[in-house]
Amino acid sequence: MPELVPDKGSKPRLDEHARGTQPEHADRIQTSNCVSPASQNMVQSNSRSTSTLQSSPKAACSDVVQSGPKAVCSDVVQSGPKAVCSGVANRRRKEPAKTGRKRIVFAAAMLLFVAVNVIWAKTKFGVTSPTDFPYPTWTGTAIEDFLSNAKGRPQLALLGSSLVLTPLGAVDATYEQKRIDAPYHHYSHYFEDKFKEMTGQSISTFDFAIPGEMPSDAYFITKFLLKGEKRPDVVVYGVGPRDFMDNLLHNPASTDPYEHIARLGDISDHIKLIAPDWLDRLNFALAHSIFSYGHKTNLSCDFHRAIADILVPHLPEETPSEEWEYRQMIMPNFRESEVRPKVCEITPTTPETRHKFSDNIAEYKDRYRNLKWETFLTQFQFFGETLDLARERKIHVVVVSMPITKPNRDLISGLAWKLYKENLRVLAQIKGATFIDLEASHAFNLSDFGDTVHLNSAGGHKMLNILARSIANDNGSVTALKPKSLDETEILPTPAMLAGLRENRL
Amino acid sequence: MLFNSLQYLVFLPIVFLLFWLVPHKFRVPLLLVASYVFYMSWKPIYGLLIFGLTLANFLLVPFIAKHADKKKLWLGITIAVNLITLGIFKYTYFAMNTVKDGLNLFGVNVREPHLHIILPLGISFFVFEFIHYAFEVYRGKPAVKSFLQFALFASFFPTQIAGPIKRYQDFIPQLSVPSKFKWEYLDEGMQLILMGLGKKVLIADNLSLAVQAGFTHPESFSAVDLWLITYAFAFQIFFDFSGYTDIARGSAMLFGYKVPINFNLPYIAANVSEFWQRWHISLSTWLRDYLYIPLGGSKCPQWLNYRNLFITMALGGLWHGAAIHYLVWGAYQGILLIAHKQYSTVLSQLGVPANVIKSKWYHAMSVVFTFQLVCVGWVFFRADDLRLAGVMLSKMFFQAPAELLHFSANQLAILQIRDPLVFPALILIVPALMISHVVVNWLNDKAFYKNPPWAVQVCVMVLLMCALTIFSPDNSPKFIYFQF
Repeated sequence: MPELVPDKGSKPRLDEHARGTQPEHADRIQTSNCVSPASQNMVQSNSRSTSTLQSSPKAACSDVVQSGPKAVCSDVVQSGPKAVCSGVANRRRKEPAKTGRKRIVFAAAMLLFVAVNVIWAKTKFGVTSPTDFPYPTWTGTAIEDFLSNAKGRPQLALLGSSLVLTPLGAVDATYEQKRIDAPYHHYSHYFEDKFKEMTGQSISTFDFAIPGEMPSDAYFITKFLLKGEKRPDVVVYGVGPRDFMDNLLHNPASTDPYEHIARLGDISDHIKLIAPDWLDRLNFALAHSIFSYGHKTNLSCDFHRAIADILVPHLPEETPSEEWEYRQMIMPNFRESEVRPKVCEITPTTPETRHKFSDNIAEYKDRYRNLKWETFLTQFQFFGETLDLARERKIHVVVVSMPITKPNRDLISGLAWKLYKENLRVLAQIKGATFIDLEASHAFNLSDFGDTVHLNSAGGHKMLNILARSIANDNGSVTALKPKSLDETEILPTPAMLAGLRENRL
Repeated sequence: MLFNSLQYLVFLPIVFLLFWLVPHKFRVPLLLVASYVFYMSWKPIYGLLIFGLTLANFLLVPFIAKHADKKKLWLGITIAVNLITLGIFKYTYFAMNTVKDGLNLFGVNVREPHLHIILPLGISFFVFEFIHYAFEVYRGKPAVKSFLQFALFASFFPTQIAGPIKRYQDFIPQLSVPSKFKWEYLDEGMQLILMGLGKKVLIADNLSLAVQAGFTHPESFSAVDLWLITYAFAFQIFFDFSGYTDIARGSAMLFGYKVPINFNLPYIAANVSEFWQRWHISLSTWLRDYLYIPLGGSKCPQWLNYRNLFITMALGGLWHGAAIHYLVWGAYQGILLIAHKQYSTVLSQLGVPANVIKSKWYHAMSVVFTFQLVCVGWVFFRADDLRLAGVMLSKMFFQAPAELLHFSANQLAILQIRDPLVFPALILIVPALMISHVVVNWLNDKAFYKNPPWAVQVCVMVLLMCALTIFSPDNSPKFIYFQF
């Protein structure tokens, strides 16, 4: 700082990266533009002194002045620490001319980097399965559970966001009178029983509703997972206005479900919708062309696991739940989508023990503010394509317009609301889906909601009763769910499906 | 535009190619346009601010040279224009809050007006460059004649946001030298950029996870944890800022320009004075030349010299951020410098033999002690406010001895966390980084380190490229010094 003291080491020290080539300009300036004899002298004498000033205040100041303004022309870096920089300059002048080999370091490094990536892409060294997720999330657990085949093929799959997920878990907790570990609960026992009660037919369900799921996510879930031997007969897809007009969403690739699902197949045919921004598209292109970048999640995860395998056995024992709670407290924003067993449980409730209504209107004010038409149109395009894809795979879709409270609905402009409802109805109709408008059913009141959009267990009961009844009476659904002979269940792939299978890696 | 962003990955190669393709006379205008694009990609309106200040300084400073009798007046006006601008954008809220808090002490409640002032990126740096220019012209250096060159000096995108603070006499002459492309520029520049990104992404960003947690919830950590976390911050800020500086220097090098270094293994300093010769060098030399010396420097009675040191460092602290804890950090550094100076005087008065002071063990002890002192200062710097810094420091000083007396690994909270691994790994990383300083210092004198074989250089670059592509986070935290 201001006081320059003699350097302890006699030699000038280099910044760890201050080695190497002196640019031509700087060289010339040093040799030709050094106007101050004082500065020349300083450059030459630098290795022996940073300054001799400390002991003598008088000398100090005069020297400091000299070393500052007067001397600066002599060396680009001289205005900094003289001992360091001028020493570097001196040394550099004595360096021999660079050889030809030195000149191609970066070009050679780039070539080698490309070669390494090509070999890596061929050998796929260190790359694990796309379903080997770095840490558990709502989406990851759902995919693992779905692919584990523990319950075989579901006849009915549910898609949607937390608007669908929340009441399903709450109803089952109350119905089964046990705590439900929500991230690991992927069926609706109550619906299965209710449907059997109404039709006499046993069906199995799989709940693919995930917090934050957008129609774009639902499309990729359908495309990559609801197919082949895991193809359901019916998909019940519950949507709310947020799914189409969440203006906090940067783009469809910003959701947690997307991050996981995109690993399961090729999404490049939808890249313009997923990444409308040129930077996002560039990022996508880089991930596709640079193997180590495209597989960074896998590779970094493997690296961390390898380190953990070495390190963790030497650490004191810990309780997983305590560690989780502790980490949640000190790092609340770290991996917000991560879940652990028993940390997100839903307990059975009665009207007396039900959670109080929580006002989340401020959050939705932000979400609905200044409708982003791009998001709206993109998500509706994905919604329509989901219905197309389902129809192509002979899956009957039941579109459910989920109920929300009036205060929440009032946040949405009249035009946006009208477009939302009309689009839902028309698209469902022309794509051959069944449309159930729970929002317009007037069956729900404020006491059925946990907040302005999520139904509680009471509302969930109502919803599932209506759905079970509607589906039981819906020709399309009944036909799709009708037990089939072996021949009928065999899926005859269309050319389009074959093409789809080829392009999907899964 | 951040150095560790995709935008920069596109922007830099385009500017680099254009720069070497166009004739020399178009290079300065090209870099000037590029620098304004770089700056305005953040908030276009603030392009006007940097342009306005550039124009004001370009017009005002020649008056210092022209009017020898009134040059002090013109210097004052120029500095005032710069400092008032800096003050409005950076210190308005701080001043209002200080006044409000002061009045509250006397029971006067004032409602502060709500102003929408957003701190322009890099303002602290380019304002300091303008002041340096005015001072140098005042001291007899020639004023810059070309507006384009002067504008580029102020806005040069590699150093625009967080320095290093350039000297115009060093930078502007480089702009006039017609040069041809050399592969060395690319090699050296890219090595620096990759190294800088490596420091930022691989080290600083990982350490930031533990540091953030420790400085937000000190109550959840033991005293020993807090010491480790403070050490971690010492290395986080070093690797973050020196990584930034490397990228800045590397980017400038791609155009064949040299900008000053900022760091020189600061944590092997054997005293605080030496630390400041090794830490943020371009700022410390600026403070020396344009604050400490004008205040009187050391060419005055001892108490005035101490006063000058204290004021310089305290204001240097406040320059970092408009908050009391930065001011306290600066004042702390001032006190340390004074104490060191006094200690040196006492040593010489006591006649301590030179061989003792120059012995290796004394030097090693000095390095360790200086590092501890610097780290205590980092607590003031990093804590969100003075209260939090107080909580941390009292825990670190009063609880640590008892904890160490009955030490067991179970009391370390960082070992309770398994993921992210950086928490338990701190007990390995921090000593490794400490040793790395010593090792690099030793290596600096070795020929194979100064001029490594070609193959080694290539392999290091490839390893860095692979590591950066694998470990680059989707959202890397901003460079710490961007907020200043």
